[in-house]
Amino acid sequence: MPVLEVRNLSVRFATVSGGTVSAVNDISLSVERGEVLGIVGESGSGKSQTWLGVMGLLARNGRAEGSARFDGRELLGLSHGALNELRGARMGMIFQDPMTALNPFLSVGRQMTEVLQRHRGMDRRAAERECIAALEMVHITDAPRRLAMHPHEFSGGMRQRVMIAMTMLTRPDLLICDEPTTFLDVTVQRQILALLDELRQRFNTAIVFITHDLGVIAEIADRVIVMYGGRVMEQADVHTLFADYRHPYTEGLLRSVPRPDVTSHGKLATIAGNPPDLAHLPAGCPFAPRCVYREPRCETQMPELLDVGPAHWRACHHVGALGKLETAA
Amino acid sequence: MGALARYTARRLLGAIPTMLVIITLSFFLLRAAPGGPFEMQRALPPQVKLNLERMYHLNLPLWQQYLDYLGNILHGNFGPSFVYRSITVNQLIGQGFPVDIAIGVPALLGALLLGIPLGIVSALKQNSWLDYFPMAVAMVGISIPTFVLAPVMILVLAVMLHWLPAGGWSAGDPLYAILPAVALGLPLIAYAARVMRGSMIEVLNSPYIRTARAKGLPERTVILRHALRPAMLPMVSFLGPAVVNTITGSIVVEEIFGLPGIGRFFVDGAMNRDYTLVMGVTVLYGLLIVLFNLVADVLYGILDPRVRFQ
Repeated sequence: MPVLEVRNLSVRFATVSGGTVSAVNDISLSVERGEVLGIVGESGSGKSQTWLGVMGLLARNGRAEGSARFDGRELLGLSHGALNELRGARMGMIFQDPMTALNPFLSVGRQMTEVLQRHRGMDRRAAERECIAALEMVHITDAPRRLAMHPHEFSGGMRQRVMIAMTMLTRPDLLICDEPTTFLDVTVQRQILALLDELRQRFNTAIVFITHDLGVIAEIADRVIVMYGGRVMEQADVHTLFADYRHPYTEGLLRSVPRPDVTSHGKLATIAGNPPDLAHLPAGCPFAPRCVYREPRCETQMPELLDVGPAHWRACHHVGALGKLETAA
Repeated sequence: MGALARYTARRLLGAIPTMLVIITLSFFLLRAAPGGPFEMQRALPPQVKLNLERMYHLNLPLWQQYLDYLGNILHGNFGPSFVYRSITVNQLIGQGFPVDIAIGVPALLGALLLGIPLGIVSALKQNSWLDYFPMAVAMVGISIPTFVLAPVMILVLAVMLHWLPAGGWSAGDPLYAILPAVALGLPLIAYAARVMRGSMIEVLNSPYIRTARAKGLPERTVILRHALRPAMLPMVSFLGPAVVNTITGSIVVEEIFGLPGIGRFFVDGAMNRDYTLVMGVTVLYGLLIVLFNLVADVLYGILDPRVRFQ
């Protein structure tokens, strides 16, 4: 059984003017134990809101509908108390900006020990010993002294390590990482990725890794889901996705990665146009307005997510070969 | 807290030039204003006026008077009142200030003890009647000036219902302090509640609150442990202006309720060119404002670990 199974999940936000913004539209996916599932997409693709919805962390005006089963147990509609038994204990989440994700007013020790006090019923002393071990596990030296320090006394990479140590205290089955390396410089990013992989292997924790960075995906993910306009566009294992992508949007994303080995006549490929307005999504494929393979029905009818190979799905009407972008460049 | 003590000491030293500027400016501005303490409707005979001026050293050069005044202040002596004969400014302040304490302290405490919880409740129950109702009342409280609110309260609670005295003062009888304290405190409570609500909402939307929730902490812990302290920071900043508001507000409130506080001395003194009295009250107000700004800065440092006292 997958550790998390999402069925027909939608996330909508009520706007001040009385409208609705659909951040996530009817998506289904599952996360297997111990795997790293990469979620790629640009801003506004719904990649973060999907997981905030699963964790019950949406903004006040947000609502998640559909189904999200964690270890067979429905999360949506769960009471606060019941959800809090799972959050922080069996599923954890770390965020993009380690500068603001830790409370600047509380010592790192306080923020870590409260997790164990809450979920393991430990007293402060015992919790502190565990926290020191956890900090050492994420390769933070001088851990006992660091517990008394406040987040502003740590560097960005160290803070993200603290976040990871804090989240891993309870050895969760599922760890959701929302762009955890975006704000870090490249060498630190590498270290964090290596650390996550190490922890995954040690504790068999499933990791959902949300990013817009395909390089990071190639490095860490086992499977990849490509999202656009709040929908799943393509889903495949990481090798298939890079070698044999079948969706025009995936192609666009891959072409947009700067590659020093390919001459593009000094010009970096981009996907023309802008991400869709989530308050007024088109009836058809959200990517259609920007798609070079667009057909008339793309604008009226949303393609279904169908398999195009073993464990490989895409949502696209286009039947011919891709590669237009390559010849255009 | 050695660093904190050093910081406080240094800030107290820094207050000396501030106070000196306040004293100097007020002293010369007051003297620059036309007229003087002994200019009545009917002019005094020149010899009488000369004798009076000699008695109060007004015949000396201005710089000499200024230096003498500074010297006196250093000894805690604000000098004799020019208008209230044979009473010193120290005595006047000694009589009047307790009245202001009796209405100002409850007003300020009310702002903190009622305004903060009201603001928190509004923020937590955002967009429900527990938010709309107190905030609407607060808006009214801020918008209606004291000189409208106070007479209406007198009319209803004193004249019509006879629950409380309409004005005046009787030392030691708290009944006389209630209406003035409420009139002074209501706008402060309203303002504090709005500030608190705004800052609480902002803090609750911050990423570290999302982290706290992601850890599965109960909402009570999220608010009390993670949100309250950062949300209190704007309240600390509010403290300085609140003290100023209480002082300026008390001048109006004293006038309306006919209280013998120092605000009235301040107004009457300014009208009569009672130099020493106005100076005495100005120095006291200045000291209070400087002091509470210092308290606010120290509280800031205690609340926020990122502030270092260096």
